[in-house]
Amino acid sequence: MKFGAPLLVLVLLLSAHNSMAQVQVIEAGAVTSSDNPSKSASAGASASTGAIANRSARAAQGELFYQLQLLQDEIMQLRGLVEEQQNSIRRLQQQRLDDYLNLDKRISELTSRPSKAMSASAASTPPQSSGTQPVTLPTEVAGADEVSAYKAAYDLVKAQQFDKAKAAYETFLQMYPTGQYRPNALYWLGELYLLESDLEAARQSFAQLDQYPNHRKVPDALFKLAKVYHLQGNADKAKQLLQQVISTYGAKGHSAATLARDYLAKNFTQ
Amino acid sequence: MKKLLVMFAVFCLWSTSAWSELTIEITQGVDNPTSIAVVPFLWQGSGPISEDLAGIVAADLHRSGQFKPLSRGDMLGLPHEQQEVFYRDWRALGVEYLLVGKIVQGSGDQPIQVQYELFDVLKQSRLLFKRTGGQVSQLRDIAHLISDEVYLQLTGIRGAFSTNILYISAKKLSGSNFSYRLVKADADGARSLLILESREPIVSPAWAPNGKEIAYVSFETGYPAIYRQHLASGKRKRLTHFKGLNSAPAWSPDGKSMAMVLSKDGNPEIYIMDLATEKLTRITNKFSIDTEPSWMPDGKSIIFTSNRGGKPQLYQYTLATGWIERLTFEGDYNARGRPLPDGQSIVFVHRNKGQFHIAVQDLAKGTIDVLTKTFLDESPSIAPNASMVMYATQRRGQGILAAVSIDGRVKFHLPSKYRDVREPAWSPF
Repeated sequence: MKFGAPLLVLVLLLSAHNSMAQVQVIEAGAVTSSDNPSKSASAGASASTGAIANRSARAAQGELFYQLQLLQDEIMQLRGLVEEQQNSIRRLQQQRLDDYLNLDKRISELTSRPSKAMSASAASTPPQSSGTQPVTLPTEVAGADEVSAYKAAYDLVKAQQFDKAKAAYETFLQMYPTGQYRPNALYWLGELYLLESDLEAARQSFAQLDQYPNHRKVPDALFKLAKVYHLQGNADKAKQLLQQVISTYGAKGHSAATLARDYLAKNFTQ
Repeated sequence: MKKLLVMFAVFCLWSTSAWSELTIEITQGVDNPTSIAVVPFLWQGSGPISEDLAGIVAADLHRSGQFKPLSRGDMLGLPHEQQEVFYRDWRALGVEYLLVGKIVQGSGDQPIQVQYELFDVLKQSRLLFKRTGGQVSQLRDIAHLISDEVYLQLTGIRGAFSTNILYISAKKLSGSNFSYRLVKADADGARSLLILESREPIVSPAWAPNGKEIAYVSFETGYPAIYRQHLASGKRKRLTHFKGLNSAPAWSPDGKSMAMVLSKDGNPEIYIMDLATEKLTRITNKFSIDTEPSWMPDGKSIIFTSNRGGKPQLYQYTLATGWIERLTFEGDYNARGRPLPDGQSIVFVHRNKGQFHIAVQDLAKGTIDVLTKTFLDESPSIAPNASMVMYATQRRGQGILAAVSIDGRVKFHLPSKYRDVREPAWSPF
């Protein structure tokens, strides 16, 4: 092992030397002493053609040594370059992260400012695709940290990183037990549990929305809750909830009522 | 016979307790140093006393750059204890703190007893009241101890006035004949003590973490060899004497091993010697030069200088993993790295526009501060309380020692009257 590295260098050097000899084989007739390094490279070439004189062998050895030193210098310079570039990259990465955090902080400050227009545009969640309808979040002012934490979790949902999103919502609920976005977080957590068929956890999440009877997420949550009960085998409870959704929200033309009607028709033969 | 006499004379000179080879010139202090009055201590014994305790304390505090002692000629009174202190007088002189004391003759193993008191003039309150004692030969130690206490009380930082330094001094005798000396002295340059004298170079003095042993490289056999020597007994042992380079010994923080540079296997590489067994482990293996090892305070990694990237730069070797990371990127020459006691920053020799200066780098942030404006600065060594860095530099063609505070605000020189001085090594506490 101890001799492994020098041996490797030697092998590399030899192969490098050979290729050089091949390039210079045309002028191989002129065998000179080792005091001229570029010429004496051709000494190696003449050796490879078979005419091995003692003198040229010694010259080749000298050349080998010279090449070794050149190579070492070259490696050192390259190493220095790599180290410096590595450092530059690390600094740039850090700089980028710092810039981003700075920007993020400033944006959060802007969105948390009590200007109606600002907070409304920043706090509305984009439509989502899992069957429920787009929901606009309340426009009341929430803390900047809460908004950014909620948005971060929601972005994870959009990026389909469901495990991370779940963790983010759980943390969010712990950190902001009375937050403005708590009902939304509960709803999304329920969706995420449902996605991985953790029915009991999903049921608990959806059920907690009954603390917010006027919240916009409630019809969807009730519908999902019914679905969970149905999947858990509690058909009676599921049916009862579906009918509740239809009777409460059907008149208002809420999409949850439509979904409930379809679900009822498909799964429960009346 | 004549030679013997000379040797005897030299011996007498060296053994004089207050003899000092180095003098101190403070070249720069902080902008608003704290004003303190150190009143001459009252001596209540018989006969004259050999040291001016208050003078030593005042000089210590002055040297820190953070204090401006009141000159004795300006003092309106010379109190020695609390009852004699009139705060009004001192406030009129703009004095913020006042140190008074008295020395009495004791008995037994403490023939000298000192009582001292520190006052806050503005608040009119006593901050310190302490007694200490010792032998007549320990008067300077007592004075430095008082300086340490006062410094700690007023700055919150442990004082390093009681510590020692090692340095190498050289004098040209004739032609190519030099005399080299390895000297130990108090941190203020006083009480120099000759450890080793040789016609061949002595380099790289280093302290053991317990402050009781030192290591150095001596060429006395014609070739470099690393020695360790017990200070009190003077007993020494040759650790390495390999063909080629034997240099830069650096004791590990636990005192059990020593990093060093040997070129026995080809080119200079860093080795660690287990001091109990004297077994060597090679930790670098490159065709480049690896040298000047220095331990991080946690003992888990070693800082060294290497030209593996084409130019001398500092690298850090982690012992557990063998991972090597480059630390310095500013400038084309960074060498002789020494970590601060907290391990957060390193001090090193940095070349900027062709000039060699001492610089400090924050390891986490990577930012560097150049501390010195002198030329050809080398061999930085850090005080154990991290307040000052002592280094070697050139002035008017002569090698001198200089010191700079870690924030670069305080500077002083310690020129020798007769000799070139280099390679300071500051002792642990």
